[in-house]
Amino acid sequence: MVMKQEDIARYKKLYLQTAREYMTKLDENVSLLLSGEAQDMQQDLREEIHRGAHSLKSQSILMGYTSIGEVCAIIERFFEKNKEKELPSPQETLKAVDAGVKKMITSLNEIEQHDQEIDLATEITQLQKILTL
Amino acid sequence: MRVLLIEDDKFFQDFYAFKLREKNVEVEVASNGEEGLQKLSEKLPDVILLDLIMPKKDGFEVLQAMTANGLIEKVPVLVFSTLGQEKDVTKATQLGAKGYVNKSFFDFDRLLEKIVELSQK
Repeated sequence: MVMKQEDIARYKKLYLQTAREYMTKLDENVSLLLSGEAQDMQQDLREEIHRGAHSLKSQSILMGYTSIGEVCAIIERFFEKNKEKELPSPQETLKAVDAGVKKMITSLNEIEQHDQEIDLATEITQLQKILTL
Repeated sequence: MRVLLIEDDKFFQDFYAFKLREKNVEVEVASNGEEGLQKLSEKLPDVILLDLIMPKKDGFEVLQAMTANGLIEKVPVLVFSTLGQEKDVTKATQLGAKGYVNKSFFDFDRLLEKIVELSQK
């Protein structure tokens, strides 16, 4: 059961604000992992990505933005499984996550302007294929 | 009735605190496990709503600390879970949680019912 319309209207601004914060942090952390910098922080970064994807998934589903929720759920599962070890095929998997995050940022803009998320079916299929290697 | 909501997500904090206060439930919010344990040491609530995945002590560590200091017997804990956390909920129940609600599927009446039920035990 998602929220009532009146709640969605009331909480849309807060959702967009917190979702953007999570997306920005996800984007930064994925970029840091991709760059290979901060070697001593790799596990912290993976754990933070896991927590961020988890929170963003939960609040997106509650608001009825299920495509964003689904992208986050795939990212969350991948990092939960790998948070304590090196990522498998890091360049390929991180680039896929990066593309997913960027598309979700576009979707947030669409929600802000037109109250509707964009279709993320292609990204979901792609992420499922690459992150479940 | 007094509820301690231990939840790191600002969106869920605001949403659920507002909804519960609308029903005259007193709500105290803690943003991580460490802060939650600190608030517990100051004043006991009737029920705790506990998120599991949090920074600075997660929900499991909160349950373990409550077992160690005996509070798990005094204050019922309701896990605030979401999709895909079935194993986590089982683990939390083994650590002493009395039930769970899925915070992503909004059924406020069910949440309130569980809170009332637990606070009366």
